[in-house]
Amino acid sequence: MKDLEKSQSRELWASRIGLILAMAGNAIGLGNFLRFPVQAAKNGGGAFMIPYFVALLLLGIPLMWVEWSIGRRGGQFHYGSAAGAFGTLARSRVGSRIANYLGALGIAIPISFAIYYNYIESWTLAYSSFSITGKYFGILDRDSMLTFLQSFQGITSSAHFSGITGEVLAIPFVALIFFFITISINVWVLSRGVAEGIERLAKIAMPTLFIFAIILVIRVFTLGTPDPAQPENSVMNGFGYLWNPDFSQITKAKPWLAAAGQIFFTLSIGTGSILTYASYMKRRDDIALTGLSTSVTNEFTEVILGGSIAIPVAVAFFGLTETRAIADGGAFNLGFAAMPIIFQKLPLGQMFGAMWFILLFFAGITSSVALCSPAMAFLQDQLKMKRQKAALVIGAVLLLCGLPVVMFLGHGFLDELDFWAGTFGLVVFAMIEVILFAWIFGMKRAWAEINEGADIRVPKIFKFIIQFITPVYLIGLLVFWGVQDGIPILLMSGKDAAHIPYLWGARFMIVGLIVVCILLIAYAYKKGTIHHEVENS
Amino acid sequence: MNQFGLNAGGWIFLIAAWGAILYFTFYCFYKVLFGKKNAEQSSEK
Repeated sequence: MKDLEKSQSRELWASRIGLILAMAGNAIGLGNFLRFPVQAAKNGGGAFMIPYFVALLLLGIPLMWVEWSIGRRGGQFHYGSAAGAFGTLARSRVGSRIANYLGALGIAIPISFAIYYNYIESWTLAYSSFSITGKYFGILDRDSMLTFLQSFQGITSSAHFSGITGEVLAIPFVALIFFFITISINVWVLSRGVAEGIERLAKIAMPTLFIFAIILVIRVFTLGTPDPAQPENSVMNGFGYLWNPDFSQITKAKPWLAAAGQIFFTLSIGTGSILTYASYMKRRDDIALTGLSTSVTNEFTEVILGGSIAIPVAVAFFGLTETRAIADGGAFNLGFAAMPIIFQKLPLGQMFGAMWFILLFFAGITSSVALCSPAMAFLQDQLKMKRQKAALVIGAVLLLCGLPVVMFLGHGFLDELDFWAGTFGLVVFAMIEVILFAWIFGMKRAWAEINEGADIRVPKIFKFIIQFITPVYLIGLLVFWGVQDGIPILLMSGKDAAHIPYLWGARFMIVGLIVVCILLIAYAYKKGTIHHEVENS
Repeated sequence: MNQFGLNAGGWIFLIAAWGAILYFTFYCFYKVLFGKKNAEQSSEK
């Protein structure tokens, strides 16, 4: 087989468990521990689990199988990213070319995502060291802790950190150092390759993350009521806040949109990274069970571990009213302002603080490496770049494009990237994937592709779901987001005039990255490293 | 409302969600680690 011969020159995963851990590491990120509990608490508590599981079954799991299938198929033709893999799904030369150019999104979106994600990830690394050294110890109210965070980010000035804080830009020295270290670790892992780099990282980071999370969950469960004078501030009330159902919420659109967004975010769907990881599999390797295993591992981490740490402990120490305010302030407020105060009230607080932030760092780095992998695969497979050189190129892009994120954080640069790349872009890319796979490639062949080498029988209902329900669900999401958030964000409604040039800057950055990817795909066509792999069988 | 703990609905949702996730986690990893294909690969070695 010509395609099999080709695939032999590509890297492969060393073990199945390594692949599951790497894929789980891709999915498990900061969102599992910070975003999920906040979303659940704000959107109906236990009742949030109804739209959450509906989104998991109708969006998450079908799209996960779609992306695994496209990736494994692409890998057989020596394609490790959507630019190339998409073309193998088309039935004509023109269709293949269009599909491959659409694949530019599968490189530009994850790298845009990785640019700001790396910066957030670097905060967790920094806070790990602050926990060990006790740098934030002594700051006991949330406002002061927020000031500490903002001065670390360069948004405000304080005695805690040196740096330049100005109206136009900020140069936070400490944050920049940790950002540079984080990018360097990413580059180092990528330069080591699939088995020696990504798989080895997952085999170290994932078990460590689980152990730290389980220790923290046990600590939370044994807290009970920390202050007997305030019996309402208890862990059980925290669980009540998170799980008691408010059915009036789920009759509204908001929790359904939040649940769908959370499923996208948590399973890393629509980033193209699953596709790249799956491209390093063999033709007959199972994707049905392996894919499901990574999804349930992610759900275990999110719902059981992630849901049992931050919110319950916040209610136990701050009480319900203040925890609601913390949750309304968002995930960073919970993770970087509330949790450091709690650790100071616990015996061995420095150790628990370090465990919390190292856990978040491991969750982050396994995801950021995955986000860089589509670009890495494209540079290696289509531009024939050596692995180390490709990793350095990606590091340079992350650093150069990351500097505006660091310097203009206070102007909303990161939030703008997050909406267009990390929210809207994911849904658009997932939509392209499912339409190409189910409708262009054809559902009959698509179904055979999913079941090729499968270790479990995929229920036939998913054939119908993938073909009809998932695309309709995605269209609904795009319309709702477009109307609710997209148009106001597009028009920059209510934005301070001083921030508008920076928001445009973020948009130009994403568009620029897409254009560069399109030009590189054109170059790959010219070079002959992307072919028209059209099959009719 | 200062106190509510976990009410009956809360317990039901918590147990149902945790139960479903734990069931599928054990099911998947059992199949991955001790499934037919894995056993065949081990015997080949």
